[in-house]
Amino acid sequence: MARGEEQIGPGIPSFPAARGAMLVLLAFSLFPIVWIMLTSVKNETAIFSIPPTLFVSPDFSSYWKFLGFGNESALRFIWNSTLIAVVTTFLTLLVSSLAAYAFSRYRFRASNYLLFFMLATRLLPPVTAVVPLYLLFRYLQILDTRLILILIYTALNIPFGTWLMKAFFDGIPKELEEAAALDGCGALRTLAKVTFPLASSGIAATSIFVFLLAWNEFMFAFMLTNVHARTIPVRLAETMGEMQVFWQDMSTLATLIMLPALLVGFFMQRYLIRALTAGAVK
Amino acid sequence: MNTGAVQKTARRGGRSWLTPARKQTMAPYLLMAPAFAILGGILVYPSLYNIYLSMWKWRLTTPHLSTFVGFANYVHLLTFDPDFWQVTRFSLGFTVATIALEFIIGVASALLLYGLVRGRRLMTSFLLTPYMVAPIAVGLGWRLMWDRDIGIVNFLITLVGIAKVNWLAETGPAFWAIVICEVWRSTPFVTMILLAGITALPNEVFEAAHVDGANRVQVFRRITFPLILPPLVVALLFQTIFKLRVFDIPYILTEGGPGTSTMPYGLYIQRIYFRYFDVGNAAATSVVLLVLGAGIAFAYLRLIQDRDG
Repeated sequence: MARGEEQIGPGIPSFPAARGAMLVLLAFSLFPIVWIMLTSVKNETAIFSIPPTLFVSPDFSSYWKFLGFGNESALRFIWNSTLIAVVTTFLTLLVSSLAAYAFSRYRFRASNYLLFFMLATRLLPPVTAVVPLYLLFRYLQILDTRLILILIYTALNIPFGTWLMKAFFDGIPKELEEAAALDGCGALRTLAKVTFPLASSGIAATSIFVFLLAWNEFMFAFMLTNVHARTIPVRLAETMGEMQVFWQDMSTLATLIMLPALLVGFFMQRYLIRALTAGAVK
Repeated sequence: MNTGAVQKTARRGGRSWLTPARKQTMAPYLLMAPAFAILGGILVYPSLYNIYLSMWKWRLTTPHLSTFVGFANYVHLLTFDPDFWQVTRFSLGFTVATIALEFIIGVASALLLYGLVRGRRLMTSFLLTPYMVAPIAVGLGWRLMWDRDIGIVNFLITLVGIAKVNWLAETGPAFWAIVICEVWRSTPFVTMILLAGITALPNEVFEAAHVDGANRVQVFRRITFPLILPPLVVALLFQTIFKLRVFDIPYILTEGGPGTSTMPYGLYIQRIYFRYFDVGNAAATSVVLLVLGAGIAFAYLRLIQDRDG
């Protein structure tokens, strides 16, 4: 066989049909995203034209509307989403790396059960918590605040975050910490100066994962916020409910929601893939 | 305990009670405490409380009339509520259809990606994009594409001479419109897991098979597939559970319509609760979803154990 080495192995080699399949797959994956972005810079006439237009002179009017300070500004929702996603990421990271460190470094009788319990909570459908949480937050009069979304997203991410961070801590040799302790480092200083820096790629993987989930989340934000803590996905869904369909406005909002995720995902994709596959390949 | 001992401990104060050895045993619990507190308070306790709520007839609008009814809400759901069965039918059909398609496309894409000699990384990151962006945002894009009058799907099918379909307003087409959108969105997850699984396989096995003259199909059926089965089953487990929870995409595409034909559990619970203010039935429906998910999880775990043991 002429092609030699690349023929061996489980993959499909890149003969012409496979290349064709790859291209179809690529087009299928990217087209809807490109289409939304394209629609966001089309005016009404271009959107309603048949056959659909691919090349238009871009009309950025709805971007100015949403990113400006006028009546219809979406900056408030973008700010809510940003704040919620960033704080959730920090909180989840802090809380789950402490727990993960304990699971990784201390062996005690309950640890296996606790870890199993923590992972088993992922089987709980989050929607199960909506009704009781609504009643609780209404009683505490904290419905429609950013705080509750931060707490919920943190809770949803703790099991996976802990699992992921534990895997990274497990990969750091204990001897390094012991050496630091011998040199007179206290427990907390060892953690801050030795362990965490070594786990930085794990921290990056976990943060990206948590950030994207919090930024993209819709269901809880939709059910538990009303005015003050509304996030940008909820703003988009509200436009949907109106009688007339404003495709350009909605595509603009959708693009604004997608952009940070696309940027983060594209530039830090290596970490994201690690986070996604860490749970399954063990 | 006698009073003398208590006083003695009290006098000695907290400092000496916290011996280094005790400190060592306490440390992991202290480190885990915040995680379990948030998890318990926000997710576990509310879910348990939800079971209790499901046994009450309780409307938010008339809270003074609430009464304990035991399992009456479940009896109502399972025997009198046609919508509940429609929701269950949709959820199960949706789960089976999406998972089957995702695994076929996922396996094919993983093998294609693995076979790429150059540009695998770039290609992987392009194929991963649908999974990174918000379901609500891409759902909107698909809604635009499925639109009867201006949608690109209808434009393309009329080009090949098929009549326009009112995708989102007819029962059958609406189901498939949602399935395809979800398959598009979450296949990358399956692909990534499989690709990682395949990459981790030892190359010697394939060289040996090659030497023995096995062809590609045989290699896949006898070697690759059995070896990647464990990560595949784990991925399947999570995918199944996630499918039962689907919310955003049916919401943005059809809002559960036409009628309740494409309504998932989450949307149904939202409707019972926020539209009819019926706490008891909303809670009971989510308990059913919980039991269903747990049942499927256990079935999968048994499957894994049986294979291992």
